[in-house]
Amino acid sequence: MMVQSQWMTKFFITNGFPQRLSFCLFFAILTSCNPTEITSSGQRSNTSYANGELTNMAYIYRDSPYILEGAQYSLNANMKGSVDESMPEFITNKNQLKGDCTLSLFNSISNIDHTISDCLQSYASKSASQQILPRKSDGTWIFPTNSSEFYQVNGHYHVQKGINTFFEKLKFAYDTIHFNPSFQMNRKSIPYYLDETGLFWFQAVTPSNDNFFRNSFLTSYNLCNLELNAQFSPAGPELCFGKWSAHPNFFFIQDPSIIYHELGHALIAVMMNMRNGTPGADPHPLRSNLSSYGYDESGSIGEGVADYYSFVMNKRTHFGEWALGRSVNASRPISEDDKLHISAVNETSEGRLSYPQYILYDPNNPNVPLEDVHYAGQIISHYLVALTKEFQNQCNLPSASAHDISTSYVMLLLAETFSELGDLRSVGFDITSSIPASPSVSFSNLDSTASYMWSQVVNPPTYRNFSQILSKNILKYISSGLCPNFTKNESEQLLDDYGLLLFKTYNNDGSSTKDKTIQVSSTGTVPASVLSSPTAIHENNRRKTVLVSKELLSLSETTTDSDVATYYIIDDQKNMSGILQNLLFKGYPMNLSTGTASVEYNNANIKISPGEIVGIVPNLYNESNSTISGVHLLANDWDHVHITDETGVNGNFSPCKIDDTTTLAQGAIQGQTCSTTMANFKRHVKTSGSFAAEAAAPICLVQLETDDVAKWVSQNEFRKKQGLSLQDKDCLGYSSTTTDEDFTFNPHECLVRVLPGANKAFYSKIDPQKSYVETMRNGNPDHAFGPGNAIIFEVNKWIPPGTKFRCRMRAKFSNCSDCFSDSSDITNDDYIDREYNGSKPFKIINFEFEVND
Amino acid sequence: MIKKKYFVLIISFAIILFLLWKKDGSLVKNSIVDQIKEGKVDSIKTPYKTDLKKKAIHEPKAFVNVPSKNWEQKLKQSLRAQAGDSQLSIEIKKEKSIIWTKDENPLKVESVVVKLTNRQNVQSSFRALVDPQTGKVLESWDQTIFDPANVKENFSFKLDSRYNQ
Repeated sequence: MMVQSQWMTKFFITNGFPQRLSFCLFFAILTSCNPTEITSSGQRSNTSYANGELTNMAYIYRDSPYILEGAQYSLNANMKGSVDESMPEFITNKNQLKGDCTLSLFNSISNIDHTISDCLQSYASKSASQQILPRKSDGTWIFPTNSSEFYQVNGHYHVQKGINTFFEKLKFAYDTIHFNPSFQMNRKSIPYYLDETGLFWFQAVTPSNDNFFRNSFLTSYNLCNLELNAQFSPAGPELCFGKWSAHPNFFFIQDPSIIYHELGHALIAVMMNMRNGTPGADPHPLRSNLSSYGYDESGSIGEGVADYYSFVMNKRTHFGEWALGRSVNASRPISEDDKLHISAVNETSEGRLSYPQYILYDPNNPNVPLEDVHYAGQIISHYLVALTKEFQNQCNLPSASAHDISTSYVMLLLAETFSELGDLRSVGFDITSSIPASPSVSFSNLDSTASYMWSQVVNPPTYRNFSQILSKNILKYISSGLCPNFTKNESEQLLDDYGLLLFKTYNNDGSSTKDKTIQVSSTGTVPASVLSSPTAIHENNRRKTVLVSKELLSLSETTTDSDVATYYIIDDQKNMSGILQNLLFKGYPMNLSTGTASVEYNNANIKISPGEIVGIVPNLYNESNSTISGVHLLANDWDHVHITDETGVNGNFSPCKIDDTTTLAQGAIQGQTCSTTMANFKRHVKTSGSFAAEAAAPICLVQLETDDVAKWVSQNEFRKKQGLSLQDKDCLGYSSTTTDEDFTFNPHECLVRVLPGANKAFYSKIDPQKSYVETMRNGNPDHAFGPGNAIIFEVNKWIPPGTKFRCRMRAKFSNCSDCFSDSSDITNDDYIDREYNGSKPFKIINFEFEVND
Repeated sequence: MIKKKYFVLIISFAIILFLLWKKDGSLVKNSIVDQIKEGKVDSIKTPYKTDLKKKAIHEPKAFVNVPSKNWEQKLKQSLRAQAGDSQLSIEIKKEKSIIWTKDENPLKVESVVVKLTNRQNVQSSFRALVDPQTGKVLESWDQTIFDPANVKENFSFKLDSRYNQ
């Protein structure tokens, strides 16, 4: 190819005009019978395929019409001018539009191919009558431009190309971390046994009938019935590329950057679950993902990395120009040098798209704050592109392959990071190359039983822990091996340019999740006498990133002059039904109570009334002079009570004294089980017929008035002592029959309960000396909030009006100075996972209310 | 002396009889085998049991839940209660039965895929672990990720205007 190119160039340079003209005429004659010819019937001529040169091939568009034909290209796209007719591309050698996944891995002697047949299958739409496209009788995949078949073939080509590139990067990552002598003594998260489990794809785990997934192939629906939308559904798994009804020839599949972005979500799902199966054992029944139902940093990381994958594939630092930009003016930059940015954004340290300053920044509409994962994810995509450029500049890479190698470095870091973050077996890494670490001790996500809850609810991926683990891997693989020129200091400074130097150490001491004195090195558990400390960051590198104490986060005080409320109640039927319906559609079912609470009782009086299902937006206030960002509010059960019942019959408890709000005089107690934090997570429900002596209790206490003393007690105690005599069947969440007890029933949330699936809320940022609502409204009282901002409660219809509740929520945030380590620990080592059962990492937010009609 | 020997033998025999009775009698009824015999639990068809070479994450113990034959109906009812009239269809596809531990309770649970189609004919899906006794969802995961062109069209709500007064 190179030789041909040189010959042609030489010909044109050395020959005069007549020779050039004759050559062009000759070339034109040749092209007149080339295989791209369209016959009058609209079908390509078959005659020229007779020699079989185009067997299994097709002509494709390499980018969107916006890129290939200009920004003003008609919305009535016919793609004719976009198709590259100079070079046909291989589509598949199968009879149907399917492709294989082949990952070649080094095994210390040679490369071994691991192939999953038919790992990709492409269709037009999800219609039940839809058949998979067969190869044409002439052996090619060349269909009329703009036809359904044409888009199926093009979609298949780009998805397969993205998959092949991913496997090339994964091979590099695997071979490097397992066989590069520099890294042999490292703890590794990408498993050595990846080939045996098949978890480099959505693969069936041996034996073949034991599927993680219903299908071990990814289905791509290229002309999906989605209006101006695209999606990745891991439960398929499937990709879906939408359309624009107003312009019948406008399809998302016409924009390869969208294809690579959606595939990026799928690849994240693969990387997050690479550790969730080991050879010869069943995989963990659940799967990790980066997503949620509203705004959060986990979803934002997912969007940022998916945008980055578009850059990996097409080298362009802008995303979605056609599908998002040409349609609703919503394309996104992936680098600060993009002209869409405001002038303050540039590639200097000061001009980087930093956190949290740009967390609500929509470059298409920069004056209106927008809390959305796609725009917040720009910080991550920009950081990853900047990191790639640093590797290109500092790692002495050959210029011809600089993009390929530098993106391979970043994909190695991402694969290591995601496989650790998503580990539901809770091991986190392997200590030797060939043996999965013993699951008897956990090093991530608490333990294999509670790991899903830890990795998705209690301590999910945030900008802090993502940056911390990614940086740990930079230190381990880049600065200490692949590219020593990119030093620890430079890594920290680049991260700080993005406001992401949110941690004090790399948390790389290998502490277990339940006992800080159990550590593991690359060769195994280390004796307690030689425990190591985590590597600290150089504090001088923290110039832009600001950390704030959790003590400066509180609930707002209601004021009339600035229209600030302590919390906002959503109790009108329309909004509340909408939130519940939206959460279900997003995959968060809630097991609503039957007969004791319902939106039918919602009376829209902005009070909490018996029988209602209400959404609460606690209006958190930032007392500091810096922005607080990534606020994660938890309303799940936690270890904050001492169980006083020793019989196991009723499980009644007293609240632990954890702050100055619930005092000893009000029923709080100290010592006993309040002085320790549970190692395991267990809700306060019956186990084998009786309540345990220690468990995580629901957050809401109720005030019991006896003998002129008001005490905060468990709801189970209240319902029996306050003359209510509420039976179990009158409690929230009750669904037992007369013969079989429902093990999930918790009488300690009989009166008020937080709905499972809506027991956490996330807030992007709170400006200094402002509340969250003030920050988001930014002067606009009509600002709309998302379902992820609300905690949802059921209120029992039998509650006597006037009953008072105190719910102990817990808040932490990503730029918190004292949420992640103990101030008395001079090493600043991160809290181990068991501490997230208790109060230490959190600011307690006491949400109090009285139930009234 | 002989009488004493006989006495010891008789007592030992009685103890053995008692232990045997206890093992087969109604006091110990927690084993899976017993529950299967009683029809409370179906025979286990999960890979945990079918492939003995494989190591189960959670070894089966006595289950605390008693699967109902109409658990899918109960699940659908529960989902419908939350969906109201917002969904055109709710499809439940069972993938497999597994043994799971929640709150230290060993459970027989069903792993399902739920597929929703809303009134705009848009589909979403997720996986769920379901308690086959109550139809309650114990965990849900693998939710659809949407990438709309116009993110401002995502569902949102405004705070009550009375707060502004």
